[in-house]
Amino acid sequence: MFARLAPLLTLIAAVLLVLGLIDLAVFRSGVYARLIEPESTAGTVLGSVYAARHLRDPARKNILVFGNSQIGEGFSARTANEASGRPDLHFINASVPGTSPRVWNYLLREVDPDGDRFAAVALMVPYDTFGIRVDPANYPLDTSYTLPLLRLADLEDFPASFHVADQRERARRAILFPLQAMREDFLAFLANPPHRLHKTRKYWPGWLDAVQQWHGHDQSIPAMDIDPTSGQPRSWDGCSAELMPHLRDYLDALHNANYGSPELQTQDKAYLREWIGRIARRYRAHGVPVIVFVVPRGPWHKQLAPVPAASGAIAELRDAGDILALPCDAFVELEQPQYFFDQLHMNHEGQQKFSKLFAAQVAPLVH
Amino acid sequence: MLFDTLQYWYFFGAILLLLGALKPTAGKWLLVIASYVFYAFWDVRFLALLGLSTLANWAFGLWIDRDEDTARRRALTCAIVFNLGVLGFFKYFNFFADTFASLLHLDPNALTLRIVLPVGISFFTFEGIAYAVDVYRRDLRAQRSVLDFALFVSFFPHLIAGPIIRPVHFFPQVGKALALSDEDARWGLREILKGLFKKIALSNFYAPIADAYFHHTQWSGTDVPAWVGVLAFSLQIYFDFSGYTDIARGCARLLGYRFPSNFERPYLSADIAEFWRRWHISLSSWLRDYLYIPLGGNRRGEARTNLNFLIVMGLGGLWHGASWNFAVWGLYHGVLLVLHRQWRRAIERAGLTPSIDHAALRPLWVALTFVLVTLGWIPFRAPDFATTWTTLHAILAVPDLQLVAAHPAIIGVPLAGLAFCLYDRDRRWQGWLTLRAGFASATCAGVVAILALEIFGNIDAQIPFVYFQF
Repeated sequence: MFARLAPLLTLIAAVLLVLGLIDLAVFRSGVYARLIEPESTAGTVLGSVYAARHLRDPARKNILVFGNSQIGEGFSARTANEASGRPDLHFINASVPGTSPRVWNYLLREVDPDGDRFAAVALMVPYDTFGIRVDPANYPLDTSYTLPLLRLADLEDFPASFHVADQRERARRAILFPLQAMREDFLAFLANPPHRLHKTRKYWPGWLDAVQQWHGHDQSIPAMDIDPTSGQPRSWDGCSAELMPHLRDYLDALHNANYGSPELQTQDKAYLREWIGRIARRYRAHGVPVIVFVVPRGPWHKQLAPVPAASGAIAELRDAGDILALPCDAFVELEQPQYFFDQLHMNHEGQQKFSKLFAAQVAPLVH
Repeated sequence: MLFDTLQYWYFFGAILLLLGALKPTAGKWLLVIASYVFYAFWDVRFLALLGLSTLANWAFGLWIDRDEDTARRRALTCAIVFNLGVLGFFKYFNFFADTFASLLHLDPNALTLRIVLPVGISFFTFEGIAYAVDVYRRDLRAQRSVLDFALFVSFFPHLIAGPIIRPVHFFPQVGKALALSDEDARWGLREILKGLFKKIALSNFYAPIADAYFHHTQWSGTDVPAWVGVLAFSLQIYFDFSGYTDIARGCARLLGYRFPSNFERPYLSADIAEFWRRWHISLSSWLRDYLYIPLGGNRRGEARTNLNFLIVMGLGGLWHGASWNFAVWGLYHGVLLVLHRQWRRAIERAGLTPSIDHAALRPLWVALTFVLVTLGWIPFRAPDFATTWTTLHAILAVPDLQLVAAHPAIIGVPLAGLAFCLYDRDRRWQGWLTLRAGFASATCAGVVAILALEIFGNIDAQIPFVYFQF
């Protein structure tokens, strides 16, 4: 067989060998990761990696807190550290906007390859499916987020976690051809290499300070009286035109109890079982607690929605002893307009209160 | 299974390795089975149609070959009627029913059927007709082996969008043991990489610009001027279809088969007749040999020759799709061919041929031909005649250069392509790469090509090949 195809196979092998060496030297070695645009999708993930590595205090028990922008805005590690009453504890905010447990799984593998560098891992998890629109397993940006964290060994596993063929294909290509997946970033780099080099050199140390010092937004949503019939405010006075459509959608979803179709709920459950389960199994061997919690869900949830119940995958994993789940109503008190600056994110006041409450809830669980 | 997906290359790699391990007859079985699997990925329902068309054409070939004179002619008629009947039903039934209904002010839904167009049908029915006519003309003997014939019809590199393979070229290649030479390997890889670059990097760059113009949406946050939209489509369709053909030819070569050239830098043609000798050559030569010449070609006087041009190009236009837009596009080219013929006769009579054909004027004629061909793409791409008229009007306005200033690649790509064609006008560089370059140089060229594909290729766009719809 090989003799008849020898000229072709030899040439292909040589081309692949050289490409492999370039790939190894530039991408798999992490050289290019240092040059990725910090404010890109992949760059935000690298920011989380950078924070987890550089903020870790070897003298204390480090608790890595993962979440999306709700945690990015709503959690202050510095406040939590001060409020925990445990000088031996050290919270680190490793949140990445737009991410969910699949991305966190690969992030954790990157920053904690042996599963023993942190005393606890806290994961923001929705206990219900409020506002769900798509199967979380098919979230297309997950490949872009995970790009700098993927390895050739993930070639089967990662693409298979998507449920649609084109997403699988895209994920497979991203692993095999990282240059292709990062081509826009690479072209931007080629357009002005000195600018990118300068930016990345300056950006990360400054960014670390920004994470630590993040004050949060001072403004809050105006208190508005909600009409129980329509589910909308009786008056929009004081609400900005920019915020109004987002709040309207949010209140609509609340009023209509939009928790997604049964199919989506099943898919969400399977997704959480898979990815929270993976993280939990990884840490169980080292006795590191994986703590899940519900972030304050929105400015009118306390008034208009039931308290979330830990059901489905979260309940299963909790009952199996794989995870520790904070009480469902731990932060419901904060689901009020004065603690939010938009329909999703807490403001400075909410951030401060949440961080203190969170530290108080988590501290007893870390030994 | 598109040529620009990993799925296809896994499939192709597996077939190639298996083929390398098999004896010729088993290899033929493998290629036929693989081709049917490939076709099933498009629509499993039409496997039966492909099989039926294959068996019928094979039987027609034997019938034509066996009989003489009238019976032979009758058999040929049956073969042509069968192929045109299949094509007509699947591709044109609704079109003509719809037209008939609108002419008689009837409800079109009462006449049309829910027919799905089988992918590649225009190609394999034309190959069936070519086979029947070639056997009738005694250009080749009918194939006794149904396996060989099935391979001719279904061979997956050309099954979906050509090139339209001539039986006289294909059958002599069947049954030889696969043994790739250095030249085969390099030539095949070169064409595959060239085709992928044309499709993924260039065609996929222009496609969203053309789509934005014809769908009245924005590209890169701005409206697309008419001239940019039309130019974008002109470049998209060339890079798309010639890229597809390059990949098809490269794959066939690696599997031990040679396909004829389908594109010879058509946008560098100096007149419309030359354009049609360099664009979709397998179709234009098919139309010439199986339609234009049987209609009398240029042997029956000037008026009949001109009419033949219009008939052939009009039908050639309709071959692309069941729409009057395609017919208009074909007739437009027919008119251009007629005008070109009259022009050539006039300058010959005036003794101006040497001056007109002077090399210094060639760039002017090339530019003129490109503009005429590009204008022709408007009805081809526009969804209706109203859009065609709007575009023709808009294109006459003072060109808006803002978009091009912001995205110089729109003009830069064709200019770079032109520069490359001038540099490598005899394809010496490509020939050197295939025949004389050292192993290290060939490897470097492969690496650079793949890196260029990775950097410039817009794979995620997932834009289907234009000619798959035909």
